[in-house]
Amino acid sequence: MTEDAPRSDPWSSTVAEMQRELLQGWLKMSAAPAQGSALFEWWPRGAAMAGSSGLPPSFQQLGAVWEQYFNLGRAMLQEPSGEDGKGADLASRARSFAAVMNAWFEQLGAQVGQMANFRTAPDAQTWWQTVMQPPGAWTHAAGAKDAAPQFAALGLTRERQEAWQKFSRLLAQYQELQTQLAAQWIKIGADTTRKFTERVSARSADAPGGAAASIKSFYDLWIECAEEVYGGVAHSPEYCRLIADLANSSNAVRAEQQRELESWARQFDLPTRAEVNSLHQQVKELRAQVRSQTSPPPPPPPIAKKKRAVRRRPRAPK
Amino acid sequence: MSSAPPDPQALAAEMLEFGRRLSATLTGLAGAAHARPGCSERKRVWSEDKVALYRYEPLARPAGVTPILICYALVNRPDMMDLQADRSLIRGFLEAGLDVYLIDWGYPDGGDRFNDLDDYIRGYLHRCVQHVLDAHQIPSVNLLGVCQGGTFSLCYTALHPERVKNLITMVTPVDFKTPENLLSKWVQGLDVNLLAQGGNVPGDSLNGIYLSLMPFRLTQQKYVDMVQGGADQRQLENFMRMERWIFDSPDQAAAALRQFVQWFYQENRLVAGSVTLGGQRVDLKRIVQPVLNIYASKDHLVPPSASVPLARLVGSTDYTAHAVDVGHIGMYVSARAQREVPSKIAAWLAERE
Repeated sequence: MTEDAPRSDPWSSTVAEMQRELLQGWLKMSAAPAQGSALFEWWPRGAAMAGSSGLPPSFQQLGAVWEQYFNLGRAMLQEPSGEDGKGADLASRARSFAAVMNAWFEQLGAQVGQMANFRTAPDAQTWWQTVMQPPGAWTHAAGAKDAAPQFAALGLTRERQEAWQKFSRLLAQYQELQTQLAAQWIKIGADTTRKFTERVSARSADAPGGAAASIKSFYDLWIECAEEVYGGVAHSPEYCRLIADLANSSNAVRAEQQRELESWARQFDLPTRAEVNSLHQQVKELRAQVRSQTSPPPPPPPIAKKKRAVRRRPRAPK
Repeated sequence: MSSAPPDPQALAAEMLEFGRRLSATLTGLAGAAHARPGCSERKRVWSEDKVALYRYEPLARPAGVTPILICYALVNRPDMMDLQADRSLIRGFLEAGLDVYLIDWGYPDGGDRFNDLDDYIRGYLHRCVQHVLDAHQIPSVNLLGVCQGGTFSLCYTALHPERVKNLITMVTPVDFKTPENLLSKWVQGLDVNLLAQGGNVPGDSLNGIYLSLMPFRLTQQKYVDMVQGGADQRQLENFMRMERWIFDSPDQAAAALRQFVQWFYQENRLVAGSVTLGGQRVDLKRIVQPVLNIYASKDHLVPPSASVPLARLVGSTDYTAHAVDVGHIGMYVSARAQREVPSKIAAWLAERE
């Protein structure tokens, strides 16, 4: 009912180009199907090509997911062969796999820190420096927790000084919380690696010589371990407190930015959010008054004692 | 996972196959980009501000059952109730001969930032109910509340029990402070006043929070699995519809979200009986009509422990709980739910007509 016709765009043509790259990779593989280095070459080229053609960020994010998956395969394949020439043992490959996942883990941790937030403040420090232009002598302190100015604001620019000090403190708090979150994620990554290698070893010991492990089975097991570890941490009071603090801190930074923008808008006689809010509230109140005069809501009925009493209740007035 | 050391040739072949599937999937996705949720014919029969009430065109002979009004959540679009022909609870209702209405809350903007829960429940929801009652000349309607919309429906029914013939709640949180509820734990320390001070909360922000409840599965594994699943065009279109629905999230009116987080998540007022709307206390004991509470046994957003306590809180003597072995989203789109839920609801309503 709501389907639109598909249309051609640069995105799809780039995908088609990437596919041609892959086909060339296959041809190389068929000519020399050794340990598959050519297999992995097409993706970085394709990803680079995608980046240069202005693809939407969503594609690049997903591209990172798939590129990560390719890196896992590469890590497992490049693990030195075992003594029998049949390849490294399961534990060795698990370690290679976990090493790649760990490198990616820290990046993901930063993303989740941003996601687990009700509202992310705009790039606060850049915003401050470009919009507010604080006195040059003070800018070095912005964002540095220990250097956050605590001295009294005085003189003609007292209000500006005080606002800037408050903003600096809030920003430093926000960055400190981000650091705490990053520390939590490092721990989650380490615990995941430990759990993952333990499980691989346990399965190997329980059933030696079973069906060969695949990259996907490694990947799924790793995800399972990561979610288990993360779930344990995410439910902990410390982590819950940290997430709430981070959200509050982000909102506080944003509120301060908003307050300063309001101040600037007033100076240029531009409408402010406060004025618009006031108008919205007035409209809302007026509409409620009009509605109450045109269609008064029925009074709440008394509490019914029995189910049948409800069914017998007369129809409400329209 | 299997236990033997991997064979290098097999690994190379696996990656080759993954690359082939990825390429085909990317091409297929470009062709599936047009897929959007929504499949059943409907008409807008009422609207106010950004809120619209839709009535669906019948697909079968009327079952002679009082019309059913679906009250969906504010936090996502109601399209999920009618995603596509083979994944549509609404279609299931229509095929069972039910007369179906759906509330679409729209996309709030800055002008709606002061809309609070009273506006939504005693305002828009009340007037949607009134429209259905007027249109059919009936004293009461069957109300189906979904997720947050279920919480709204509970409040509304408690305030206006005479207007609700039967109440159905689906994946509805009632007790917001149970040990499994991660979202609840995260927002306990949230400063809701500071949150609301910044205006409406972007839908993307809420999506980020939902994703971060299971970040590895939802931001990584899901997309690898999509590639592994192959490039069947129909499956990719299904995937795109879901993806579009998941990330098509309206901003949340600041005042309503502040109240919802504070009253329900932080203060658990529905259980405490201390929700007040328009000066009237929401007393769930006033819900004496038949209640069908459907919850998902694998729900990570609204865990069963959040829904099950409804049994002891309502005043109804005709209370039925029904667990479906799916997750939160699976309740709307899984084959199991598609088989079980519409027929269950239709039969339950018919028995009480």
